[in-house]
Amino acid sequence: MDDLARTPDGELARRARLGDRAAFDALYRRFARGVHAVLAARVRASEAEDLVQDVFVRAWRARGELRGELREPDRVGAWLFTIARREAQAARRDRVPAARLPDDLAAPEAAGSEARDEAERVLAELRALPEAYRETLSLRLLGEYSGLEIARLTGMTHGSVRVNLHKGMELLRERLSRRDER
Amino acid sequence: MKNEEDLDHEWANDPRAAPDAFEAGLERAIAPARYDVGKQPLNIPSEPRRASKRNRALAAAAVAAAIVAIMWAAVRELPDSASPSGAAAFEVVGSSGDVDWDPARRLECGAGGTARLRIGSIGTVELSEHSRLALEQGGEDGYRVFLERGTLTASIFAAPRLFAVGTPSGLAVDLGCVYRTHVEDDGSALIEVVSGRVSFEADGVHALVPSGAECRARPGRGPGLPRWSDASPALCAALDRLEFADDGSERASAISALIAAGERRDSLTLFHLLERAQTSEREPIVARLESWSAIPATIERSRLVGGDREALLAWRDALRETW
Repeated sequence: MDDLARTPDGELARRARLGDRAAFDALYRRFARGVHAVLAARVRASEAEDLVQDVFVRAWRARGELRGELREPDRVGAWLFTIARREAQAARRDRVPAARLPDDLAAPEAAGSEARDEAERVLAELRALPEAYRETLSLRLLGEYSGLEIARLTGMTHGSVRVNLHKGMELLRERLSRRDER
Repeated sequence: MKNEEDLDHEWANDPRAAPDAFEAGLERAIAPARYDVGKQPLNIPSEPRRASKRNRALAAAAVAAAIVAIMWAAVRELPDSASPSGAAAFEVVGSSGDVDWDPARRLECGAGGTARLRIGSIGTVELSEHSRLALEQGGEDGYRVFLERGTLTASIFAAPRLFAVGTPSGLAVDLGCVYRTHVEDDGSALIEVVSGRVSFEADGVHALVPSGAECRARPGRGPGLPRWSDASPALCAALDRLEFADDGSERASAISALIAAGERRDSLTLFHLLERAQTSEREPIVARLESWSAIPATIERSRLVGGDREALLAWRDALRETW
């Protein structure tokens, strides 16, 4: 039996490029959480959830671009993350000014869920960190990637990821402490 | 005392070593916001027209072969001297499927449609499905089209700068070559060069894209840095980070990653970075480029670090041995 869950990224990309939806769905299952983490480093997590679908629809339509990624399996995730960054940037650009809401405002669908509200508040503090730390921390905390995986998927050196995680975690701790004191 | 390499090695072998209490609490707090793939199945809208699953690979191969054949035909059949006197500047010489052609203004291919457009006597362009091309200028002074969306493959054999493809993100000026231009719905563009060279230009920013390289551009930002189409994942990721850097520290970090990831032939990318870098950023870029190709004795290093245009162009000629 063809077990797509264990099929290497490059092979899934090759099949997806030829129009194999099952292979593309396997890539979605593998990278959706990471794509969400990249998005949530830039927009509210609930908005990021909606954008995940947009990212993969865009990726499906642009699958013809999956060329170098066939030879370099590590690039498949990086390619999806790049689309996610663009999607988040477009979403921020397209916001109507009058509709701009505070980052820490809970999404309507999250109302009634205290745990979800708290997660949104923590993420709002994360998004207030300098750009260099946001995505690395989000990939670690939301995407559940190891530091090595983050380095592989973002092209950063191991040292940069290590520093970003350490420094970012420190700054986040300070922000959350200050928030708790208020 | 451990050096950076030791720390990296240690960290690499134990990448998620025991999060402290704060980090563990943070992970618990943030867990409800994690994306749940099981609850959100992927929903891709159906496309207007698809070949049967079994035939897709064969169809893709056939299309690729057809494009190669058309390019070859263009090379063989369209020497400059073969131009019929008084011939139309633009003429559709082949099409299939849903194609809308207005000889004075535009050419549009719908779902499944493709068209081949002759450009005077200097070459042809292929327009793929879901593409729209505006015809802007055609004559002895040059030919210019504007790709509003979709994909265009140009095969041009003429003097440099006689043909150009406008996009919402910049102008691709032909320097004698075969290249593919793709424009997304949001106006961003991608140029891939098969042979020869293209100069991708917008608002004073330019990128020289040689054979085997590609360059992306976005509306309002112009062309990014050119890269080899098979550049390493690390270099591509660093370029993407640089493109989306929101502040100085992220930009500095992305430039460091780019310098670290580059190989000798990536002087193509690093030289373009050097041209656009701020004074404070140039020193490590010059040092990296210098490690691959010595600065000619006639060029003062300080002028390169200072961003002197004349010195940069002189060094570019030396660096271009690999591109």
